[in-house]
Amino acid sequence: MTSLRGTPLFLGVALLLALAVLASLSIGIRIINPFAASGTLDAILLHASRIPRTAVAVGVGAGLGLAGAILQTVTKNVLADPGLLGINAGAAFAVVVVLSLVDAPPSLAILGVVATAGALATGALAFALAGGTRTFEAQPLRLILSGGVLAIALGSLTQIVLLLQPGAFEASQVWLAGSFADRSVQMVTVYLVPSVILLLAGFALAPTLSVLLVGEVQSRSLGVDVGKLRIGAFAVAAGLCGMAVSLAGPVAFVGLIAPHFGRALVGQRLLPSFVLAAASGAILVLFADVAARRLVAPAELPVGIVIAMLGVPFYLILLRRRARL
Amino acid sequence: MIRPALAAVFTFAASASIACDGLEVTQETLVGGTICAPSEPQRIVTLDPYYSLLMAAELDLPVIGTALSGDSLPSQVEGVWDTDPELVGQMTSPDLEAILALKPDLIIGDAYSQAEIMEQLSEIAPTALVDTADWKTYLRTVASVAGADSTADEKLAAYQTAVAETAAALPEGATVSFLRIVPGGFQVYVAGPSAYAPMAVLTELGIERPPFETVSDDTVLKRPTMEGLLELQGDVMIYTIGGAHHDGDAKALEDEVTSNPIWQALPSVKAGRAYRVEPTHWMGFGGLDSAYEIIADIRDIYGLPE
Amino acid sequence: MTTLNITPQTGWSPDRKALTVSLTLTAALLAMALASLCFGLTTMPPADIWATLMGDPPDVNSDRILTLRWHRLIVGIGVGICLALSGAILQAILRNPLVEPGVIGLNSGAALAAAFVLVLTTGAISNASLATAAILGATTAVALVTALAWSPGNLQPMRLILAGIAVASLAGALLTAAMLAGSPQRLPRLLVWLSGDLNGVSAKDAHLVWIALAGALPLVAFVARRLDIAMLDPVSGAGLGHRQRIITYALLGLAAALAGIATAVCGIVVFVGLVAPHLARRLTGPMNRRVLPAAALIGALIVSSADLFGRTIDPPTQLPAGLICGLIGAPFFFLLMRRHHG
Repeated sequence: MTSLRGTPLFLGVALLLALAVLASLSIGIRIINPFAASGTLDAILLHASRIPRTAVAVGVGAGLGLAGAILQTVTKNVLADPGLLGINAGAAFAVVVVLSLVDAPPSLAILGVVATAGALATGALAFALAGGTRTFEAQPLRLILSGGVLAIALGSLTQIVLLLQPGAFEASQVWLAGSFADRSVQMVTVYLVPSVILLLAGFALAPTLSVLLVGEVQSRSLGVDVGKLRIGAFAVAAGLCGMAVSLAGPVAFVGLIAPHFGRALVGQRLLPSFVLAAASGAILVLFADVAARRLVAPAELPVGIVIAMLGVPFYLILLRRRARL
Repeated sequence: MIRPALAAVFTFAASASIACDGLEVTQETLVGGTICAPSEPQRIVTLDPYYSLLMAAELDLPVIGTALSGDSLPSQVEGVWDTDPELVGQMTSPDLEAILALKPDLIIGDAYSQAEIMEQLSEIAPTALVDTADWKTYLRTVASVAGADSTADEKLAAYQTAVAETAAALPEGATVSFLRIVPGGFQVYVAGPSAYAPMAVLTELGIERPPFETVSDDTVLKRPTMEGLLELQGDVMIYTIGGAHHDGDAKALEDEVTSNPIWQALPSVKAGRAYRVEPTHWMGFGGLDSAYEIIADIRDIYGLPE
Repeated sequence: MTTLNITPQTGWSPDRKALTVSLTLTAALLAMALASLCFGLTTMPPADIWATLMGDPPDVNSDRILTLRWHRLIVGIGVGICLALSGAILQAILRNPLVEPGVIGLNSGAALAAAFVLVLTTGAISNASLATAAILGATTAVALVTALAWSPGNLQPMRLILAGIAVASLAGALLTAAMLAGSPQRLPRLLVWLSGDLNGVSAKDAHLVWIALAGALPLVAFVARRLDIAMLDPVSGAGLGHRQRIITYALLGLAAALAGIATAVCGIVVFVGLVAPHLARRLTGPMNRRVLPAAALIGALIVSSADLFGRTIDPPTQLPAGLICGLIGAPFFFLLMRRHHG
């Protein structure tokens, strides 16, 4: 990041992020002034809807982008996606089971806690089933495979519950589509500190993880405990994904493609590439969310579809430009 | 215009009729157009626990088996028959072996969920899959295949009288917004050609809906966000939480919504005219009983005598 | 590539071992077939089955029950074979063990088309229309993925996988949107279709899947050896040149067709295409001419046993086979992974 080429790049990204935040604050069914005086309808909308919504989008976008970057580095596989660890499937399963058991739908905040529990339990289970610490040190790809299989199994279980308890389907359909809207200010406040800590922890991992890129044997000779490092990295990534799914429900694709942006812009230098992965995740998600609000206003599109529609073309351009990703 | 075109391409062609020694019923609202039903069915199996089962119960039809949605019979049919109907599995995938074992003489289901197994069902017994969004048409179609037209006519006439009575008593130009709250989202059931039954009842009562809640296409529901709720400009807000299978109070979810300043900025809420109703009939509509319950709720909200 | 040390050391020649594996799997499949005919809501002992076949049914419904079970059985076996072979071929040509038919956009394309037809139209939808839509959707998605990943040289596996993921994500998002936009009343059938249900399959479905297999199986047998060459080809783009490229694309088409037929007949069945080839490799070693038959048998076993399990676990509730595949397959997968690792 010390290179001269780096500074304008990061300034540009910061500017884009600021622009995205501003857009998210002011554009919706109504266009509002983000600096409206209190007491007006604009101010009510800003505080009760736009600010928490923007905060959730930034946190989830950055968290998933960073988690994806960490996982792709640790597993040395550009296909590694938080979804493949079974985390989203675990969260969805937990939420659907709870919704099928309760006699009244719980609040969004409670569903968030349920989702995190499901996500983290599944991540841990995938880790254990893949052979635990020893195997993970040697064969990180195995984790992806067992996470994938676990995701399929949990997805099947979820669908069975939904088929047998149609009430759970109605109640969970919106949550399962993923959204940043209508999270309460209180809920967002609770998540603020842990999210920041997790993001910082992820960035802090970068210099050490760089060692992995030079190869395992060399890293050992540099005095790095590769196994512990991988486990620490996995824990941080799982934490970030758990936070994201708790706030917004399952959001696909961001964790997969944001790291590609990072790598495309700065290559294999990990810290700048992690920062860019987080920033581009946030920017992608913010713009997608703004578009989701406007395209069919006063209705909204599910944000996942806009993320995919914005993300896929970029992704394909990257794919064509780089012979090997 | 794409929907009717697609529908024409993808729906069943009407099958040619063959000689029928029972009751030949031709209805546009039946999949296949025409079925040859027994003139007095004795052993009916229904394939969904909603309209088919509940309306069969209202028409006093002999139902010996039914598919479920969830794990128990709807409370409305408790005690309707001397013996409860046998269960033949979930409505999404009824067990053909179980239906065979019951030796039914008529099978009634809905066009959307059971079209997949229409062929096998028809080999077991005459099968009426009803294809309409309008609940009264559904009731009449079920009645016509089971030879219960007169019962249906009688009951619907009584219902129309009740509707006219309440409609006359309601204030002129009453506008109502209707909202369902689910975790993480809202559903607004609209008034229109394919309206969900309770909304059709509101329309019959002469109740108007704000522009956002009125459509001319086949939309059944809209899913606004909290900001979109500002479009719900009815003088009265009727809201429900969860679905027909929920009987808890959902206080936390309700508070999450009603404590939001945007909710409190709604005209109906400001005027103290937001009413919570039970989802049992509003979200689990099953025919005449449900329609009467909805009318009773409306009379209650507008302070009319019971 | 030669001897990945994942097979137990027995001292047998690999071919003899593969033959033993195939015979064992065939025996298991036959046993499963008999069980599928015997068990259901009512148990029909083999003697009754025999009597029914001989035209002397013990109950008026015996004949019909047997027909229902027979159709489910042979469609399940056919679907399992299709999906397993498709997965095995794809894993070989794309050289990635995480690949399954869904990766090239097949499932998501089919699912999106099915959702479009089921949720966004009016009226009842026939099975034939649904199958046609599914095949059209799957073909479009696979064509799109291939076009996006197209490169002048040989087929580049990683590009295809990445393009596949992009298309699958987009189709998945559109599917969610369609489900939210459609009338709730119309969703149950879509949910069942997405779950891979064998309840209600008919003679037509059985004909479709087995006629397709009759065409495909000789082709697969013919290409099995070429597939090993394709895998040994060390650098993509180099190697065996133009001819090899045509063969690779033809194999891609074959894999897509196999999975497409299976999907058209009974909806989305996950897991089999991913896991059956893995299990087969663990039993027979890496060479495709040995992997393919074993994978096909394992696929058939998984789907038919999933269906039997799904309809007998809690009768009269019918749990869709596609979902049970994921449930009963996963423990097996972990067990094998563990055994051969430790």
